[in-house]
Amino acid sequence: MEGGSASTLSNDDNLVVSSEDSSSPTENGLELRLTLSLGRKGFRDCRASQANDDSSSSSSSPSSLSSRASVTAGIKRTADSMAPTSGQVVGWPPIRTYRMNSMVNQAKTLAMEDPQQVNRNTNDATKMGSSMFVKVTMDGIPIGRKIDLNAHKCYESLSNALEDMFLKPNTVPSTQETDGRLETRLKILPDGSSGLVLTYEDKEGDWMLVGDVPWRMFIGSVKRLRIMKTSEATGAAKMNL
Amino acid sequence: MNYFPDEVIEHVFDFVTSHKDRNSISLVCKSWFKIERYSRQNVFIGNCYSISPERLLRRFPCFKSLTLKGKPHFADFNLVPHGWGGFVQPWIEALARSRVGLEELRLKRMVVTDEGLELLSRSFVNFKSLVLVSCEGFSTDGLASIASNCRHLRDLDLQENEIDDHRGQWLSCFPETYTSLVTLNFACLEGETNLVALERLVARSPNLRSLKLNRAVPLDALARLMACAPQIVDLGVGSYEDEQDSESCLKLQAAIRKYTSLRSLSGFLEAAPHCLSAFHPVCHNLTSLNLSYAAEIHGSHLIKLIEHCKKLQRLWILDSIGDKGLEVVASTCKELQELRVFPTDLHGGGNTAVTEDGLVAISAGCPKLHSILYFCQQMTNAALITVARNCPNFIRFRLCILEPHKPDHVTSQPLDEGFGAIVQACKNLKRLSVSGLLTDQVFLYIGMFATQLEMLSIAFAGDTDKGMLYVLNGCKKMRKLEIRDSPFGDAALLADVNKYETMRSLWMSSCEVTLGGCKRLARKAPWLNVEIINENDNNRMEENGYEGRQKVDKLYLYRTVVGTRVDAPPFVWIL
Repeated sequence: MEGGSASTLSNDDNLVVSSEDSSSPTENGLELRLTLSLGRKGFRDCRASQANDDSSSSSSSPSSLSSRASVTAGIKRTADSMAPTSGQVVGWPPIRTYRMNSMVNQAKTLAMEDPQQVNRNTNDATKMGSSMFVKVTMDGIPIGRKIDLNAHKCYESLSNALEDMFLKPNTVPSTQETDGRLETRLKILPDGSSGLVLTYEDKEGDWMLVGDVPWRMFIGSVKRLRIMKTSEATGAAKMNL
Repeated sequence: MNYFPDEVIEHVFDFVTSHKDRNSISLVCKSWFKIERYSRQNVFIGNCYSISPERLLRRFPCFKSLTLKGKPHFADFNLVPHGWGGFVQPWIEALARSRVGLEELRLKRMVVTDEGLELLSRSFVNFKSLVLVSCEGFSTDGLASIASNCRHLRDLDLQENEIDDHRGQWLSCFPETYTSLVTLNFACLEGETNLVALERLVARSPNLRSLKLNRAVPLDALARLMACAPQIVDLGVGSYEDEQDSESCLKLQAAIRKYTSLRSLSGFLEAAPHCLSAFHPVCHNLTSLNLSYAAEIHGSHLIKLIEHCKKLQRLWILDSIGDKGLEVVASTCKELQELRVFPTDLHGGGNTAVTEDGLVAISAGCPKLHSILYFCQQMTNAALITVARNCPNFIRFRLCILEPHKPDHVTSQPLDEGFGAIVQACKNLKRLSVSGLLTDQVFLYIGMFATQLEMLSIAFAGDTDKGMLYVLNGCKKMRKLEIRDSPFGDAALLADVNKYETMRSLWMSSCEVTLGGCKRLARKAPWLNVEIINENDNNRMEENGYEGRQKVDKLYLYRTVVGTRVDAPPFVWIL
């Protein structure tokens, strides 16, 4: 099988070397380009319909698109699988995370100065290279982590991801406190059962409980997250009152 | 040469500093191998898993400087999950146990811990230089150890790392008697900075040449710092917000006028653009300018600044400069060698972005240009062909068209011909990144013409295995090949297994390679580590029975002399 493709390769080499006009496509090449343009057109049509429909629940995913568009693993799996656009693909455009975070933070700073910009910038943050990393710290663990909020569309998904990050055995450095908590879910609303509560610092510097406001509003105002022990959270709440 | 005593030969070797040359020297004969071994001062290891610290020490017992790189390049873009590897701890421990007099440690994309930094700071009396690029896993506590214990520290250079900022007092950990600082770069620290400690440190560092501040250093502090360090060559301004503080602005202007040695300027993380004019008096000496984090500097303020920078060799900028701005660069910066244009608006539709016209203007105006990284929304074959004609001296050419699969926006053709012209004209091309709509044809050109190419980055390109085969067969000097979201599969992967012995590494993600193909490769090439990175439950790959044909999410393979690594996390499967 491998041998077959190698000999085809050498044929192509000879073709290219011997042809007078290197820009004239061989018949195969022409076919290829025709197929490509058909494929491309389909891709563009799909994208055009995508651009008109802002809601994320559009599921016009043409599975008949050329194989390139169906490259699966590179595309973030959302509940509604959409054709790839530059705003949806993991790790694209190829910009260092550090720089990406810096851009998102700058957008937020501008948003703080102009309240009317908040919605626009929230959209920007959502679309900006599909990354919106915020710091997450958990009491008792010295080194913080970062989580991409744009990878989630709801609180439950966020909660699950944080649980994976902090409570799974092979990712957490061994501390006594975590041993008994492997099965607990990280409750967003404090009901006391897990002993942990998720809080966030908003753009005004206040620490709030995660889950009170709609997700979009949360995304627009969250600066960082902290997983606290319930007892401490209650204490802090009492102090705020 | 055999008639000379070893000391003389060693002295001659001292003039040979490049790693490649020293490697060549060591192959000439046994005696040269031995002399070179004991005299090698700087060791460069491009993949920390290709060799072990013990073997390194056996070969080079006397080195002073070590450069280590850990994660693959695509880790920069979140394609490598957290915990994959690249831990520097075993290296520091092994070096600490040995008698190596380590003076310099340079790490890129590695996981560093506070414990490691503390061990480092205590183990090497003459330690002078710590350079960390894109690293993670440590906090300012680790920096405090370095500051406290490294009596002879000259360089502390932290570039774009993820550092947990405990807002501690690491800057005040430098002893009062410590005066040997030459480089201090903490621009990537997020938290507040002890300004008093910083000023005192700078004031007692007469050798300070490079100072890069984080955003927590406001304008008035900057003015004071600059006033006591006029010998600085490389300055990274932190926050440059002018809160209507005219006294600070005046102090700053006075300080800047003394900055006759300044050659490199960066930062401006939060900037009030109208203050930029304070720097105009020193612009004519600048050789390097990095405004790629200065989102608030654009338009006429930016242009005015650049118009003063006639000696610029290196420029990193945001695409808010626009094509018109690039034309100004082209007509002003005749010494320009390296240009990087980063995007500000990632979801398209920005009308201030740069286009192919900007790139053509630069290529026409800057005859010394040899390195470019250019993010843009659109490109044409005609433009690339013109660029190739104007600039046949490219060593690094990285073009990133933001939308995957985007064709020539005028002709709707793939960009094969454009990139083909680049590789054909640029005979010294060592690094290439391609983007836009590309067929197998572009890889045919690359394989044919890019004879010096060492690193190639491919994304959303090609049609069949032939594309990858053209590259593997043609580019004899290929060292690093990284591919994502392209339809290359087992046939290409397995065609020439020995090729991988001549390369440092191969990365393929979201391609068409299967588990069966990877297993076959691993069997044929036991001297390779073939890693399958599967963030989803790894075990499912075995269970469903179609494992041979199951597509592999991420494949990373690299040559190694020390076999399978022992620190791989559960989601990494080494075949």
